[in-house]
Amino acid sequence: MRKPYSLKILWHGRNRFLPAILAVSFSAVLIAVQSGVLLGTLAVTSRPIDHAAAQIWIGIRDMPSIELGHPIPEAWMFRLQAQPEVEDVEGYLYEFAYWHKPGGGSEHCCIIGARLEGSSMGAVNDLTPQMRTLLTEPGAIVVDATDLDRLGLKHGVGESAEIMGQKVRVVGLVHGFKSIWGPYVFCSMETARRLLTMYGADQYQYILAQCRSSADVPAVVERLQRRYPEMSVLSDRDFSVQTRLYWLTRTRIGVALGLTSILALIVGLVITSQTLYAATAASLREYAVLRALGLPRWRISTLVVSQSFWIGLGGVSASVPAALLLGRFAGFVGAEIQLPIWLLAATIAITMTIALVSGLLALRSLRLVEPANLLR
Amino acid sequence: MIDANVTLEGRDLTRSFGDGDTRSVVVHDVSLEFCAGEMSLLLGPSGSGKTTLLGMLSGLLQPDEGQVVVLGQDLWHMSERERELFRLHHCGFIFQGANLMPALTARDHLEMVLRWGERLPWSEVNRRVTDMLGLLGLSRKGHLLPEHLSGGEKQRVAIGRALIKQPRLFFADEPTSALDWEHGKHVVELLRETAHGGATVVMVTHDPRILNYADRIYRLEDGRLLGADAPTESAVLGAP
Ligand SMILES: Nc1ncnc2c1ncn2[C@@H]1O[C@H](COP(=O)(O)OP(=O)(O)OP(=O)(O)O)[C@@H](O)[C@H]1O
Ligand SMILES: [Mg+2]
Repeated sequence: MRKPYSLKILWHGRNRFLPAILAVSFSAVLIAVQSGVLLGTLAVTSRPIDHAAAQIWIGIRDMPSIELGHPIPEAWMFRLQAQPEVEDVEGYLYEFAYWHKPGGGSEHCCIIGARLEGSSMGAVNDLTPQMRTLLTEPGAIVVDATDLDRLGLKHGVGESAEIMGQKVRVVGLVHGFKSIWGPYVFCSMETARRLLTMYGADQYQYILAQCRSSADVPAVVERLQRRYPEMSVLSDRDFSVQTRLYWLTRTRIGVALGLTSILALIVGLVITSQTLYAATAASLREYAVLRALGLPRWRISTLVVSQSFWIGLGGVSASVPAALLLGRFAGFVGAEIQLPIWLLAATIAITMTIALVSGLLALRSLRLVEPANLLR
Repeated sequence: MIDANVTLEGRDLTRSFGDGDTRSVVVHDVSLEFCAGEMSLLLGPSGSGKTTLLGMLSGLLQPDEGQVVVLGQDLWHMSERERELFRLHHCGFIFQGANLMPALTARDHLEMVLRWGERLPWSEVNRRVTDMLGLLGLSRKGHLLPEHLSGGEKQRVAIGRALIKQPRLFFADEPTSALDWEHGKHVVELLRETAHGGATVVMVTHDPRILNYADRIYRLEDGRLLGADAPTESAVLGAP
């Protein structure tokens, strides 16, 4: 294999091109990691849905995300039970409350009360059988290990605090539920009802259902929604996406992260195109000779754009391992970065596009290639 | 004097630069002809318009008036694109500097012309490049970058790049001015061989030592042609 001329030029001028490669690489890492942080953060908001077995979620009309439900009547359960495909129905509580730290001070927390039996549709699968047994005790709760600080606790298990004036006791810890709102508090339906006195005994925040066959879910959702416009009927997948999208658009974390990514891209673009522009401008006489000899202009343009391709490729290949490493490291310190393949692929595509665009922008220097200028 | 071998002819060529008050006529109504198989020189003091004339004859610089007939075609009546193709197929150039790309080897420079200009297959390209490097006396330097070549070697690569497509017309603007005579002589001999092999070579030069190699000499002064000289005579006249 012969090395392409563009690659030889890049290698020969590597000192000159290194900043551009680094800039491209930096913007790729930034985009990947930022988006990964965003995905990781958003994933926590819908994790109670994603880690529960329920296939259908029923709530009040116009609920944009899981946090924004309202009490609904238990009687709606019959509407679900009346559907022939539905196998199982149960209630679910999700509400914010005040957590009073043992050492004083308070904090918002988010109480999730669900049935705990093995067939439960609402309890997250992170709760082990052992925890579920312990949670049947009144006042027993499970929290996320990384939230202990926020809750004013030291080691968690065995420690007590108060929620809405009622004593609670930590019986277990889960991982991966560090919410952006306030710490999640998992408990039994009975404990939740004791803590959330504003709920009537015949009220839930959500009603969950499962079908005999998951293939029936869309039809059931569609039918119920058409029949009962006063309730929201969502498949677990749709509710999860809706919740994450709500957080994405509502909180503007997406906007902030998006802007930084765009900024990084612009920096990469400017540095790369300026580097290529300068490199090309420094070779005007050399290119002019090729033009005098009648070699077509597009060959020279391709030569410049190919250089931008190699810069992009160099930057991207440095960035993927860097992003993965950062992801690992973040996981280590408790932050969640999700780097699915599609995100890496999109990052590579965007970065390569930006590199090629900088190559195209650098082409403007070729307007100065004029064979007549060699006659001096 | 009508010569069947005339391949390149300038008729009443005029070129000026600038507008209004600053306008100056640099080449004034010059007619001249060049033949295949000859190395012709354009001589004249600095600023006399030699380079400008060469530009017009070679299709790089548009004349204000006049005509260039080359290989039977009117060069300045072609479209830009046609002229570019004409240069590709028929014209070789060398300029004062070698203008080589620092990142590419001697061999790359020669290859590029054949690959990009003529789209020849690699086997053919390799053969011709190897032959040309041999002809240039650079057989063992093909793999070197310009920074590792001497000035004369660089200029020879530049000549090879222009010669490798076997042009019928060859234009050189002071190709030896940056070289000492040892190297300059090589370059001139190469160009003369090219001419005697059937090409039309037009060279602008200041160097009186080259006069002895010339087959035809034109002298310019203030943009006007003084007339064609016989080489031996001019060698005497041209001596400082
Ligand atoms: N692009 C241009 N714009 C303005 N003036 C020009 C331009 N090119 C050449 N000239 C002028 O035309 C005159 C002739 O220039 P030219 O380069 O043809 O001279 P020359 O005979 O080749 O001189 P030298 O031996 O010094 O190279 C000079 O006075 C020069 O200043
Ligand atoms: Mg000149």
